[in-house]
Amino acid sequence: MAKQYDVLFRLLLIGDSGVGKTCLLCRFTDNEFHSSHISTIGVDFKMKTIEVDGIKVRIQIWDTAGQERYQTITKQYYRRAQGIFLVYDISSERSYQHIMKWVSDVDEYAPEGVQKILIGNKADEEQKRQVGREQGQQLAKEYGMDFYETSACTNLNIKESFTRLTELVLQAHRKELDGVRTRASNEMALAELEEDESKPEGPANSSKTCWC
Amino acid sequence: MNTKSDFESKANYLGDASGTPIKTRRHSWRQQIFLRVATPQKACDAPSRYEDFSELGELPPRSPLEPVCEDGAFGPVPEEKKRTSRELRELWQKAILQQILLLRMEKENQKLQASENDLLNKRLKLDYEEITPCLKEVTMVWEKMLSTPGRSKIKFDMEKMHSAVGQGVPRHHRGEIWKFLAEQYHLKHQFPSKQQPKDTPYKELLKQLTSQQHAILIDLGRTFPTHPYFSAQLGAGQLSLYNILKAYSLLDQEVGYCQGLSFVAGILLLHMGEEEAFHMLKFLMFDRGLRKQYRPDMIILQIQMYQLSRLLHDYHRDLYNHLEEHEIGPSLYAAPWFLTVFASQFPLGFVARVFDMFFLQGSEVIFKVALSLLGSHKPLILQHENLETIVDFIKNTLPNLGLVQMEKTINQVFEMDISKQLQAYEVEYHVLQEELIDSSPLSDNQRMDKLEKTNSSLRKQNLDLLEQLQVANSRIQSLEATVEKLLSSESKLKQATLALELERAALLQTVEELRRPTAEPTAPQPHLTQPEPTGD
Repeated sequence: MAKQYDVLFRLLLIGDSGVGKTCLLCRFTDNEFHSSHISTIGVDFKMKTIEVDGIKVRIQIWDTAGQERYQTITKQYYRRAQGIFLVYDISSERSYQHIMKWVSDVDEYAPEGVQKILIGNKADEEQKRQVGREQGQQLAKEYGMDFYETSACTNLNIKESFTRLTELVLQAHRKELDGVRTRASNEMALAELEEDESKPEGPANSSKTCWC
Repeated sequence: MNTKSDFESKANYLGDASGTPIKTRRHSWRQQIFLRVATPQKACDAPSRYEDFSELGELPPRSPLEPVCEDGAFGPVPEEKKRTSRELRELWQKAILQQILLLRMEKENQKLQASENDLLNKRLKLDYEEITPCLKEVTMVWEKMLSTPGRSKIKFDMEKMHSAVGQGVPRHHRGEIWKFLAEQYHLKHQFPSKQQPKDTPYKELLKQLTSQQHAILIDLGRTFPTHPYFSAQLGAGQLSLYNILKAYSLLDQEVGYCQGLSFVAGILLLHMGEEEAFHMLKFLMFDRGLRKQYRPDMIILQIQMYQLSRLLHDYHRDLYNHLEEHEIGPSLYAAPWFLTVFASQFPLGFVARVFDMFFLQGSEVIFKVALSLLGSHKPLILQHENLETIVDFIKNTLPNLGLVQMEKTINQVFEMDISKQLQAYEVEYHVLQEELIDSSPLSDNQRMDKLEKTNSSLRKQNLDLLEQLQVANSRIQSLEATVEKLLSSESKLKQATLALELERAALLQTVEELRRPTAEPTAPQPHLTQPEPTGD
């Protein structure tokens, strides 16, 4: 059965190696937490459809390798994104310090008007905490971003943060969205891309509804 | 041993009691020597032990050597005591002997346990499904090659090794075979064509500190996390992995540590000891050209991605179009194939086969395997009609290919030759990059930036080429020297043949001459007399 959705967004997860980007993603899309998974080599992505304001949003979330030299590959995916998660690890001061660098990369490679959100992950590891909550809030404020402390392990603020970024992207594209809404009510078959069975004439609107 | 000496001592004791004249034996060897020196006659003649002891008792005034003789003190004590002390000594001896034996047994035990652990570890490490099951005859061929005396100095026939690898590599010899293939490579390429690292010993490297420590540590638990050898946190597998990666990062400062390398090192570790694995990693990286893709700018990886998509365009146009249509570039699925040599996603048995070929042919193998895999799954990939499902298929379904499919892939790879295309497409990539810069409507600053970047990358290329040129030049020189040597040896041989021919002619003549007298025995007479008249 093909799932339906009204609009497709691309979100991107970036941040230092080992801060838990892949775990955040697995928790959000599959509600699973694996303590043992392999390092992300290159880029990966997962999908999920959520409903925001009565709109079915298909989100394609791109997961990237954190090691700096992988930028050569990952930056190619920046320009396709409408929303970006900047992730650090609350038990690693260094990953927090590097957020600055990640922000400047976003400025350089991502499209203008891209929505950003700051995530301090591994909030369950309170005893190893090196970055205070206020520090995270402070930094987010400086860059005008929303901020969440999350834990993929205990499922803290995962759904909230993903939904929030999706909302932000939706808001940023309010104008186009109104168009989608009316069109969506007119042509129900719109963006019926999900499964193999989708008819060749039905889909193909993803490029219209996806602002890349 | 122990029981025997025990028995002997008992016999001695009995001998004592019965008073048989073997008492000299009961003295300590020092005493015996002393007695022989001090009173030679008496020591030999002494009929009874009592006399001996009285003798001993009288010794002190006679000889200043006495205090040195430790047993002397026991001399005058009554016999009963003397025996117990001897008994005590024997008991001590026995105890010590037994203790030594015990220690030895314990050591043996430990050794056995260690070797058992080794075996267990080896079993654990090699617990994967073999792709090309190795026939007995092939295993024997390998065993013969591996056990050839002076193996490291003999050049084996390339064809033979090629066909042997093609027919299969027995799992339990795999590590040794990889080392053998590396050895052979070195023998055949005595003039290294690539940049070589410093020859710092592994043990030295282990003592140093690496700036990559953090990056390596966080990847330890994320390398084969479900494999029993690597899964234990800071267990044997992870520790060895850490050591190798650390040592490598110190050896090769430019590459340092790059994510993906841990998988390559891991595969090596499953087949050999730590230090050997380190040397093989060095071999693959430097001699087999794996390292360039890990350099910090990763430009080579980009080029490889371009080359792969061009190869797809050549060999599987429909698939190429299908992927293009959905904006799926090779970097989306093939980056881990290259950076981990398939190790991060594919079954170990398959990866091991890819490594077999890598050791034999070098990094081109990755392209061939990628191409073969995509080709053989083309119909299935074409069935999927959007980015998500296509990528999901290539990333998650394709690696779990069946045994037959894997074997087919490997066999195909053995028959491919794509080196020319690879070269052509690399050049093409650079040309395209230049055109891209020329044609793009950028601001002056951006243009400047890009040009500077190109410039620096070209400079780097230039340096690389220069290096290659130097290597090639030195190679030419040495080849020329060889040619000269061969020429001179050829002329020498010619001379030798000439000399031999002359000799042969002379010999023939002699034979001829010798034959003549036997044919006409009377002939010599006139022959000999003939000169005389002419002499007149």
